[in-house]
Order: sequence, then structure tokens, then C-alpha cells
Amino acid sequence: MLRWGAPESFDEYVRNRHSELLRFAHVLSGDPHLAADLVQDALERTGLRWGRLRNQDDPEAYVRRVIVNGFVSNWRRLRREYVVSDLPEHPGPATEPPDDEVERLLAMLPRQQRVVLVLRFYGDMTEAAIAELLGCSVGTVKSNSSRAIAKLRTALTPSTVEGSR
Amino acid sequence: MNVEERLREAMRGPGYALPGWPDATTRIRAGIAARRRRRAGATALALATVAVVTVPAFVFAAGPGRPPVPRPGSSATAARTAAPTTAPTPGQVIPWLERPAPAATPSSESSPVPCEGPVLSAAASAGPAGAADASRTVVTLTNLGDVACALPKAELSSAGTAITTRLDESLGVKAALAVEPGEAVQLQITMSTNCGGTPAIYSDVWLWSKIPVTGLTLRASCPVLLSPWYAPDAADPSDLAALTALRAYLDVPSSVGRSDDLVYVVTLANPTDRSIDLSNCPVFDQRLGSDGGRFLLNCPFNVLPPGSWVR
Repeated sequence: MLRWGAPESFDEYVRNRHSELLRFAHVLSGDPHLAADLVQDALERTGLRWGRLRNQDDPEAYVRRVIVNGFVSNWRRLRREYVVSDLPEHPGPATEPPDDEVERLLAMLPRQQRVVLVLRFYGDMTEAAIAELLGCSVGTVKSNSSRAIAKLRTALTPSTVEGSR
Repeated sequence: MNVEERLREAMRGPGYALPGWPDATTRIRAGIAARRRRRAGATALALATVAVVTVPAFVFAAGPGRPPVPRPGSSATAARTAAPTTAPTPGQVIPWLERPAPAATPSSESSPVPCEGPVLSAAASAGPAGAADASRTVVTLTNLGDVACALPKAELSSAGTAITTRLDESLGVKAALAVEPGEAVQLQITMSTNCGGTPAIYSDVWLWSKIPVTGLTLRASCPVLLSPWYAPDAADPSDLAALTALRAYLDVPSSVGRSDDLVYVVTLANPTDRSIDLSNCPVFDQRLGSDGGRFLLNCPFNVLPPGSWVR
């Protein structure tokens, strides 16, 4: 779902890809505000390195990696946040909420397991590609994936699963 | 629908879609600009710990006879346009020129094979003048082969007998560890008859007992001094040795405002009573936190007169 297109300027890239990246970060984090922060952070870092990244085969892999790392790490807790009297931006139009039960169960998973599921089922990435992106072994990806699926399978009762049909 | 299918459907459904930013490029550009400002501020702060070490032998330390060093001014950042001159103007600030130093040649990284055999030729020629009781000869070793070779420590012999030598480390040359194909390295031999007794004379001298050195006759009563191998364009070893007498001083402001440029001044002084040739401009190492590199010093003049200094 996340594909690198024709060579673009950084501004074009931001305009064309930020919505998709926001969605990716939202699936990853389950939090639209955190998703916006993750994408903002990733695109800023990308912009600083655009001269080098644009010549790579798949620069978007770098963006995804920054988003994933930002989510997995505790950067947001460590980051200094300011309380302001005015909201910096207005909320966008309401969208249909995600599948509540799936989102609730995903939120209960360890972050690493959630990341693996998102990259696998949303990003359509192979286990090897996920391992490379996360900097871990394929075995770790497999074990995280199987454990997460097992938890979800247990939590999503047969009737629930069938009921969603 | 199994768990995997439900996950895929939920993740790709409209529930996770977020509205795009109407001002996406503006907000990202603003964030990048803020990062650059923060980075510049951090860099300026890190500069307070900058360590500038000239190579091979510049020493940054205050000491007796340190020349007066005024506070840095904006002129230090002005562009250099003047052509090289032979000597500096007193008090003149030479704008810094951050130019990466050329890689040292020959390099040891591509030369695992020891230098030996018929692909090497060695010839001697008269070296620079020295003390009255000492003479200098320069041996040029040329690699006529197709591959680089590593240079072991020079060993001289004559008629199968090793000649006693000592490494002359006072010359200050950067040792060449290898010689590239088609290139040459040099070695300076210093002989002295000041040790009494009858000087020994060697006329058939070989390197590593494998390479004849044409035109070399040794005549010495003292142990023969051998400099390290050095690239011939490195400069006269005696001139490089003179560089070790230079003193360099770093003048850094105690603080700098965020996003402001940190301007520091390096003063290079010649405390000796003889002029120092800077036509072969030295290099220096600069470290800023974990970043750094080796750069060529800015030498817009060729000679630093005795007792003078430049900034």
C-alpha cells in the first residue's frame, strides 16, 4: 500500500504522501494525534536528508522506519510538551471510527507486536522486510506475529469473528 | 472471516483514514527550519568544546611569549580574496578556509604486499645542507610494478653486512607506509663523522639486502640516521621539522547566543629566531563533538618570519 512513485521534489512528496503516511501512523498508533506527531517528525527528518534520500530506490522506507521507530520508542514521553491556550489547529472532519473491538485488542498488544501486525496486514510487507525495517531477525518477527495473532484469536471469540461476517 | 482477514479489513477500512493537512508543506518546512535553528544552536554550544589540533605538531597551549590575541571580530568570516603573499601583515586576521586536506599518499590501506623484488628501484641524490660535520643524502625508491606495496622500516646493508642505523624521528615527516604503482617515496640519510675514529665507508649499499641503491656511498663514524619513508611532495623534512616549533593558540568566546555563529581565532606564532616556510601548508584536525575531519590550514603567505604571528 505504501509505494514510492516517480521522483518528486520534497514539497510534492509531502503533498502527495502525507495523507497516506498519516493513515499508516494512525493504524500503527491507534491515536490520530500521535499519528500526526509521528508523521510531522518523520517528514521533518526526511526533509533534512532529502538530497540523499531521493536518490535511493525506496526513500519512503526511511520515512516508514522513522515513524515506526518513533512509535516504538518513548520519544513522545521524553519530548517536552507545552500547554497553550489556543489550539494550534482545528480538528478535521470526523471520520468513521475504526473497528472498535479490533482497535481495543490491538491497543492491548505490546508495541512491537502491534507494529509487526500493522506492517504485515496493512503494509503487506514480508517477514524479511519487516525484520530489516525493525532491525531484528526474521525469527523475532515470526514469534511476535504468532503471539499477537494468538492473543487476538483468543480474544476475538468465534461468535465475534463469525458475527463480523 | 478469520482473524487475519478481520485485521486486514479493519486496518484498511475507512476508520483509520485521517484528513490531510491543508498546509502540509508549510508546516513541514516550518518544522525543518526550527530543527535547523536548534541544530545550529547545539552546534554552537558544542563548539565550546572544540579541539583543534594541528598536524603534525601544532600545540594549542598558552605559554610564555604568547602573542596578544584580540577578541575575534567579524572580519574573521570575510571571504578571502587576496592572493598569497610572502609574509603576513602584523595583526592581520586571515579568514579561515575550511578545505578538506588531501588524503595522505601513498596509503597503507591498498598495499598489503611488502616492497621487495625487481619492480623497485632505488637511487641516491644529494640532500639538503646540514651541519658542517654531517651530510645528507636522499634515497628515492620508485615502484615500477603494477601494485602498491607496503614499506617496512628501511634496512641498509653493504656486502652482506647490515649497516647500523637509527631512526631519525626529529624530522617531523609523516611516515609513508606504502608506495603506489608508478610513484616514489623518499628517505633522508644523515651521516656524521663527529663520533671519532676512522669513518666507515660503504659504497655498495642495498636496501633490505634486495634492492641496490645506485649512487649511494656512506661515510660515517656515527650511526647513520634514517628518516621514515615520506612522499617526495611532502616537503623537505627539515622544513617539516621546523613546523614543530610553531605554536598555535585558540581564542574562543565563553558563550554564544543560540543560532548565532561562534567565531574563534587561531593564532599561529613562530617563536624561533628563523623563518618558517609555510609554502607546504600544514593540515589540522578539527573535532566538534563526534564530527570532525582533517583540513588544510589556510596559508595565504609563504613565510612566517621569526618572532611573528598571524591570526
